[in-house]
Amino acid sequence: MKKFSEESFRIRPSVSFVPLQQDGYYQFFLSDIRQSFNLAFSDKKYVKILTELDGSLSFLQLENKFSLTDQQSLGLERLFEILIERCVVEDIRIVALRSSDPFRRVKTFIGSYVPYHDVESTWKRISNSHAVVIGVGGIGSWVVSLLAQMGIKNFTLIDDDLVKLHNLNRSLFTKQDIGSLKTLAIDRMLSTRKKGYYAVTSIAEKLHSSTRLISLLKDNLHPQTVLINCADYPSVANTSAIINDAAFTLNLPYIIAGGYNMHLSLVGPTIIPRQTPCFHCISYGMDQLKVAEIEGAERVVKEHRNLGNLAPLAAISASFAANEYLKLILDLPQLKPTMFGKRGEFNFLTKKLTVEEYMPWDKCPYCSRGMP
Amino acid sequence: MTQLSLASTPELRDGVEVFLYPQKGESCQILFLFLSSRRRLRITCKPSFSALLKELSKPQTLGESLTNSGLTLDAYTSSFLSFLEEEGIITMSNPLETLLLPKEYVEQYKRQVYFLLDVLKSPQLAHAAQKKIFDAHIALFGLGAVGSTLLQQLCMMGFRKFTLIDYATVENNDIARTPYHIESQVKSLKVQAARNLVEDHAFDPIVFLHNTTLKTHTNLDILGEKISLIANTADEPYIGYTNIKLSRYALQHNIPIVAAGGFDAHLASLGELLIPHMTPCADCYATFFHERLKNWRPIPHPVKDREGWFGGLGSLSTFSASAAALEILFFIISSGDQQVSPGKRGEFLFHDYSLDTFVVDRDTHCRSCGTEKS
Repeated sequence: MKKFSEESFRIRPSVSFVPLQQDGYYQFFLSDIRQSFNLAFSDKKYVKILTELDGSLSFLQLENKFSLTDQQSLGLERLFEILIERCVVEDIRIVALRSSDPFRRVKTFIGSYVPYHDVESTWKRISNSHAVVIGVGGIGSWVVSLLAQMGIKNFTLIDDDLVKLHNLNRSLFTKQDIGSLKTLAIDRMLSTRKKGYYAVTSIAEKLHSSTRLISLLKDNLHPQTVLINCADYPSVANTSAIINDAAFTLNLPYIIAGGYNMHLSLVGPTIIPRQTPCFHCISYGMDQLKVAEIEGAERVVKEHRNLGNLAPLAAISASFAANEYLKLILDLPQLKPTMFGKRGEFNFLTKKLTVEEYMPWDKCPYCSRGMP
Repeated sequence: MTQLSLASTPELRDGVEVFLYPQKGESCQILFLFLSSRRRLRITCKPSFSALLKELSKPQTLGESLTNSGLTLDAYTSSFLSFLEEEGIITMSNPLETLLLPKEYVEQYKRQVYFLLDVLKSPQLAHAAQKKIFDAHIALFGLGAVGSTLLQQLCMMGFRKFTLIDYATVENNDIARTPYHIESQVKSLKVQAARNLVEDHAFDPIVFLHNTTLKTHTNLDILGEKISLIANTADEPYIGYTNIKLSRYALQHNIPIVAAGGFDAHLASLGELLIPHMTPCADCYATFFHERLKNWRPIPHPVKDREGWFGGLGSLSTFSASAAALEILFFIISSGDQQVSPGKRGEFLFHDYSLDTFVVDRDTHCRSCGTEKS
C-alpha cells in the first residue's frame, strides 16, 4: 500500500538544500529558525528530485517523471516521511489554503517546528489559548500586543491603574488614553487592529490575594490558560507569590516577565506547577547567592523610588515573555520553554543574555508536597 | 563638581542600592550596586561617611545630613561628596530641572531621563543627551515589521523629527507584525499609517514622507540636509542591496546608518551600526560574509516565487527593532565621541536564546571605504 499519491510536495520556501563537501552528504538549513541537520543519500535520483521539488507534481507524477523502481519509490516515501517530520517538505495543496491568511507568517514560522499537516490544529490551539496578564503597564502592554500579533484571541487583563503622561515613554498608550483605565486602553488598541477578533476581559482591580485571582478564573477556566506576571506593586515578589499560589491551586503555568523598576532587563522564569522550580524555589536559590555577598550588611532604604526605564528594554523583556508563552502552548519535546528554572539578565550594552539556573528547593512549601 | 552649600539638598540617587557593612577597626566597607547597569563598586571609608550615606537618603539639607552624621564640610568630606557625585551615586540638584527642554517634554520622558542618569551619572549629561534626541532627525527606510516598531520606539524615547520612506500599502497580514490600525488603515499608504503612528506617540512631531521604493536610480538627495542618522529596514529587493545603496550614499555624506535585522534568516538579528570611516561599511560586511560563506552553496531553490512564504513572529521583529532602537539611542547620545571600531553582527536564536556573534573588521581594500588600493 502506497503512503503517498496525490500529495504535491515542495521544499518549504524558507529551507535551503545544501550539498556538503563530503560526497553524498546534504544539509537542510531551516532559515526561519536558523537550525540545520544533515542527511546522506546514496541515490542521486533523490537529489535531482529535491532540486526540482516545487510542488508542481504529485507524488505519482514524480514517480513517472523520474522512472522510479519500486524500491526507489519506497525509498522516496521514506525520505519524504523524514523530511516532513523535520519540517523541510510540505504539501502545497494544504499550505496554499493559507495564502491570504492574515496570520500566515506565524503559521509558516510554526511550520518550522511542526509538520505541515499539524500546523492548522496547532495554530488553533495557540489562537484559542487564554493569556491572563496581571499588570498592563510598561511590560504588560507590550506582552499583550505581541501575543495579539501571534494571533492569540483571549485576554484577561488585571490592573486598576490609569494611564498617565509619564507612562507614554515605554507603554503602548497614546495621549488620548491619559486618564483612562490601562486595561480599557489596551482593549481599544486591539480593537483598532481587528474588530471583533480579540476577546478582552478587563478587570479594574489591584491584585491583593490569590483567593481573588482563583475566584476570578475558576469558573469557565480555559484549558490552555497561562498567567503572566507584569505587575510590580507593591513588589514583584509580592505579586509573584500571589500568582504562584493561584497557579498551584488551578494547575496553570505562569511566566514572570521582567522589566520592572529594580530589574530593568530581567528575563524571568517560566513555571509549570509540580514540574519545574517555582517562584519560591528560585527565590530561595537567589537568597543563597545574595546572602554570601551582603551578609551582615545594612541596606539603605529609600522610600518612593523613581527608577529609569526605556521603551526598547520594556519591549525586549516582553518579547521573551511572548516567546515563552508560545513555547508553553506549543508543548513540543524539542522546544521546551527556555526559562524553566532560569532567570536571566539582558545586558543592554553588550546585548547578551546571562542566565542563572535554579534547582527545585527540597523544602519548598509548594513543590515539596508529595516529594519522596 | 557642583558648588557645595549647606542649604543644598543632595540626594541619594534612586538607581543605586547601597549596602553598609559593619565597622571593622576604624573603617567600614560600602557596596554600591547600580541597578540599570548592574555595576558594583566597593569602597572602604571612615564610619561617619557610612552614616552620611544613610542621611543622604532622607529629604533634608546637606547641613542637616552632615550634623546628623557628626561631620563638617571640611576638605575631606567635600572630596567624598564630590566622589559620590562623579560616580553618579548622589545628585546635587533636581535631576528633572533643565532649561534645555520643554517642561511638558521632560514630564513625558522623565523616566527615561532617570535611565540616562543611570548611564551617564550626571543630570547635566542626561539633559544634554535628551536634548540630542529632541533635535535629531532620523531617516527611516522601510515601514514594515521592523520599521514600524522601530519608529514607534523612537517616538517613545523622545525622537520627533523623521523622514519616512516606503512604497507599500498596509495589508491585512500586517496584523501579525506591525502596530498599525489594520481595521481602518488597510490599503492606506504605509507612510501615511506611519505618520499616524508618530502622531500617536511622539512629542510635537515633524514628519516628511516619501512614498517611493529604493531602486538603483533612486535619488537619495530627497533626504535633504541635516539627517542625523539613517535607519534601514527596507528588505526589497533584499536587505543586502538596500544596505549597500544607502551605505555608499552615507559614506559620501558622512551620515551614520543603523542597518536593522529582523528578516528571513535574520529574524532576531541585532543589526549593525555603520559609521563612515570608523566602522566597516555595508560593502565590507558583504565581502566578509561572501568570503565566510564561499563554501556554503545552496542548490537554487526549486520554488521560484518565495516572497511571503518565510515565517516570522512579532516578538522576534520587535526584538530586532528594539536592538536597533538601542543602537540608535546610544549612537545619538554619544555623537562626537565615536572611535574607530570593528563591526559585529549578532543573531539571537528563538530556540534557546543563544547569540551567534560575528566580528567584522573593515576591509582595507573595500571599493567604497577602503584605505588601500586593491
